[in-house]
Amino acid sequence: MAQASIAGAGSAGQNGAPNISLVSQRTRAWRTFRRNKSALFGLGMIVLVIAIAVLAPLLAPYDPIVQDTVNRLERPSSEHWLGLDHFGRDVLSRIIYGTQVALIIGIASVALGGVLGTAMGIVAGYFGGRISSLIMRVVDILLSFPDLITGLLVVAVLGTGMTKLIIAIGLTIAPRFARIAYGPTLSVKEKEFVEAARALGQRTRIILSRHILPNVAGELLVLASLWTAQAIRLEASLSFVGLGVQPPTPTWGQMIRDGTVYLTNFPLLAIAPGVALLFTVFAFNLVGDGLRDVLDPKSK
Amino acid sequence: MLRHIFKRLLLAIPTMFVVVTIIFLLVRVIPGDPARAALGDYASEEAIQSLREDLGLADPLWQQYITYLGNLIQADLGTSMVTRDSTWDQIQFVLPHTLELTIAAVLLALAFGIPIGVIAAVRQNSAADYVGRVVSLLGLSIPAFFLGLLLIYFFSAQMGIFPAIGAGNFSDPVDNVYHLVLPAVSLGLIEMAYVSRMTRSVMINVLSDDYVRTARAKGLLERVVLMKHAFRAGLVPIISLIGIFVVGLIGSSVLTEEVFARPGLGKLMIGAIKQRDYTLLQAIMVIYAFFIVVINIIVDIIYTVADPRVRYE
Amino acid sequence: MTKRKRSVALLMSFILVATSFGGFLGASGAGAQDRETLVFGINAADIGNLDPHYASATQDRAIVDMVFNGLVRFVPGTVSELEPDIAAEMPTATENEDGTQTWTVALRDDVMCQPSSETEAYQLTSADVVFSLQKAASDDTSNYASAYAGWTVEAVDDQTIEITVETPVSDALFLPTIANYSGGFIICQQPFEALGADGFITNPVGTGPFMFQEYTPQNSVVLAANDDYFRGAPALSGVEVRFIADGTTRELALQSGELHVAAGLPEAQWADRVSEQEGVVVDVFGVGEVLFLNINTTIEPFDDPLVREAIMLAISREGHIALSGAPVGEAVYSPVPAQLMEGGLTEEEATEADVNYEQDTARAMELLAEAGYEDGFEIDLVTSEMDSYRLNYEVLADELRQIGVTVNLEVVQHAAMHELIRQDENALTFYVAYRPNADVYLSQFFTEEGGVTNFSKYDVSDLVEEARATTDSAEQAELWKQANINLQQDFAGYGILLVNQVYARQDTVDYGHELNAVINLYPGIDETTSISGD
Repeated sequence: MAQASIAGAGSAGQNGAPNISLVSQRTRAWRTFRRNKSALFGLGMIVLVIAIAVLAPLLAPYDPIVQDTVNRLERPSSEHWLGLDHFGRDVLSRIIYGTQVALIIGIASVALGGVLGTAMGIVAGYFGGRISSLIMRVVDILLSFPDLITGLLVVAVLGTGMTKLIIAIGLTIAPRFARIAYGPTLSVKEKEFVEAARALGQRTRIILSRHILPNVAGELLVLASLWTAQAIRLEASLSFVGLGVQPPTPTWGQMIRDGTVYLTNFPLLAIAPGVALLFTVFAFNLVGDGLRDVLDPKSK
Repeated sequence: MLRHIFKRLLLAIPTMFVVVTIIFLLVRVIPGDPARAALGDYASEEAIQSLREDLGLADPLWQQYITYLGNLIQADLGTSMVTRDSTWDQIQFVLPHTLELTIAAVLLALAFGIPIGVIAAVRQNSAADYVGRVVSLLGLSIPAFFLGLLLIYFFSAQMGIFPAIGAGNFSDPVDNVYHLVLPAVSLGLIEMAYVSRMTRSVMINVLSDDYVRTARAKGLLERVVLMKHAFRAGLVPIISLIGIFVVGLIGSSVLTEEVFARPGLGKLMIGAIKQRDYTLLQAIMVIYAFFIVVINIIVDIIYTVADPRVRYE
Repeated sequence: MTKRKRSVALLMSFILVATSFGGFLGASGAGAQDRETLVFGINAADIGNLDPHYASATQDRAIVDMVFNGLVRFVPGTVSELEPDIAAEMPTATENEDGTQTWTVALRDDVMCQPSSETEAYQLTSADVVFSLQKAASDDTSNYASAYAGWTVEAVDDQTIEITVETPVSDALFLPTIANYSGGFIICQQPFEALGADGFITNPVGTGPFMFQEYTPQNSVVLAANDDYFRGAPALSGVEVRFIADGTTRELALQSGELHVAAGLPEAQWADRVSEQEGVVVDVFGVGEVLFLNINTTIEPFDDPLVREAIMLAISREGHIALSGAPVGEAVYSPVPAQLMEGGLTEEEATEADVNYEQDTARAMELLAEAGYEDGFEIDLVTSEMDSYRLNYEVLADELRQIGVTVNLEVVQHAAMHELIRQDENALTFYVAYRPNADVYLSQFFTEEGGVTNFSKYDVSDLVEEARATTDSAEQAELWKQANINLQQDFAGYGILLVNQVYARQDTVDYGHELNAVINLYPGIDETTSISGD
């Protein structure tokens, strides 16, 4: 999954013509990326996180939702490495399963927001006109609000739960993608190869997907990686204020929220899931950063 | 110049209008009944119904909207549905706390973030740069509430140096600062990460520009090159980015206020959502929107003043 | 680099100086006065409504209790005994020829209404009391109107009122309605009219030992000593109620001495741990709020008694109690708690009547299979985000999972839950409540009269009405017990546990009374409460 998307980054290339040898361009990008040790390290971290999520049933020593209230808040022991939470559930198992939730929400909401936003941005950029500039004006207004505040409002409207949370976060970040896709589309559509394609009578859909999309894909990919990190963080923040996924689904934000109550005497309950959260967000940020360096060597 | 500022101000009006409309609609579709929230668990159905009528919740949507806009134009933000107090009074009380926290965090972020960014850019790819980048990326990754929690754990629970509780009184400046330290550091550290990263990448761009190279080639002192040429050139983009930070900061402050149980706009907002206090939530959002628009205009003006190359038709 | 180090050092030293300076200021400030202000950290984000006839959240009840009086009051620290408050002596009843009953209440002549921003202090008269009781009885101005239905209140003279009730009631049912609780709190007419109903929400004015001084949203309510209080000037100069919704923050603030009294977590483990701190005392006391289950007997598949029985057998009282732990959590064996009032079932009584269901997962699954649900089923439930609900719903979801019933639990805001459960959104409804007597519990939750709060759609009104008409208290209690047995026998409702109050204080704080139980859900702070000098 991660591998595939990195390879995809290559296809984006610079703002040049897209139909020169994709393969060599891809290889070159990969080579640049590979030289970036911290990005590579981040990629390793993501692979690890994904492995934990996929292998959760094998890795987790206990069922993350089975309660044992009589032994609640038991301190760490050889049976329960991180102890038991306030329902007597194994904390380690909950952190491991929490990886699944974090990744599902992070990736799904970015996919949703990315597709929605990109489509909006490209269409608005390509067709132009008054409606497009109006759309972009609204996008700008939405963008001027902090994500958390937009997210809070949307969740307050939609309600809580996994699907609703994905939609809420997706809607919150869609304008970012629209904004990024809009600019390059405006400039690319004036380029000769697009005009040539248009002159040759190619269908709009094909022009958009063959010529415009690949030219904005690079930036979008950087954005996707960075926003996966943000989405995971946003989900945790919303869970932390009590507007997250349904119980008993294990999520890190909710675990931290529940753990704060015991911060003075059992700090591990809040800190352990927090570390898992930080690790994952950091990994996506590292990779996003590395991708940016590949695409824009000047800022390296 | 003046014409440009005037134009920006004029443009802000439709922006505010759109924001206010979006907020009005969003807030209406939030499930839950503010009348029940206001009356509590014991209230009878008749009492709730009559309060709904008193609060104008039974009116058709367009009528509520017109009343709302009419009041807003007269700078009336409405009364809270729960406490029946003026919402502006409630906001007025918490606003200084949020402003104080935001300003303290911005100052911290700039005071440390800009030098760190410049040093990192000058010594690009050195060990210091590398450590700085990792640390700042960590700063970008850590959720504000978790950082706040860690600070509370170490400095309040373990060492007992700083209070974990609320905000200090403005009448007692010492107490006020004492309460401000942890939240401001928690928010400031995160913003510092942004500022240092942006400064670094802006400065790297500037340092590779031709005239800086020329200046260097002419044998000017490195420090002079840095301060006189590079930093000044970098200042403009940095200023414009600060606008974005401050807006982002407003978002993060919601969580910081929540974690530190500190009165503020963000905490008020979460409370309003939980209590279904439509009018209060609307008022808070309008205040947020107002600040965001103002910050953008200020940044824009500074931008124009600081960089004569920027011209507007 | 060195410059940075220096500035960090500078900052730290500034902070150190600032802290010591702050400490010095605090110390000298306290020394200058004889009386201290008690700082009380309460578990809430803000006030809800400080009009006593609306106050229902814990923080609201605590504040109004310090500001207002009733005609009679619960002896401080208890809920079993009443004594005169504004009344000069305990009221007595006479039966009238037309079948009604009249209670005559003589008032003290030294009760002063507190001054407010709009009005001066003045002596309370029967006009204020009549106004207050009429306000409490009206649906438009009170949440507790139903308790005063059929009442006529009249002033006989300045110092005497008469209350005529349509159907005669016993002392046990009548006196709590004029006590220092809910609608029984007496408000002063002049300030209420001057401030208006909306103003009263954030600016209550009564006759009590403390008077309202200042409200800062989401932060605090400051009360000042009422030196004209009829029982004498308070030993404290005032009370500052601070809203701190986070338990850890309250605990740290108590530890650092910023709070004198702090609401604890309803957990025995917390009580034990915090009481180990030096100079801190933790009190665990009543009244406990009862958690009971209501099963909607009209919604499929719960219209089938077999399914309802299976639900009862899935529940483990111990599992729910463990969330709090003894002595904070205690088992109850009927929705009416036997340990707090007449009419509830004790463990023996419940077992004898066969309505004390032990957890039996295997039998529960058999019953489900018998009802045609051998593969279980799925239900959607909503819960409040408040821990007292959410945690118990989560435990219930785990218990039901074990018998093959999948619960999709949605967490909503507290007010939203109350709205949804009144629309029968939950087939299984937990309710957490304290009510002053069995009549209120039963009529509100298990009769048609209860309306939307009859979550089970089960009706024991025959027994409740019979009990209401009985003036013999032993007979009355038997009827209430029978109602509790019936509703558990038919698997409509089930008492699970009650959770006591947990409050921590500095050991310098003396509430001025023993802490057994307090009806207003806080330790009870009055003119006798003091802080000894250290």
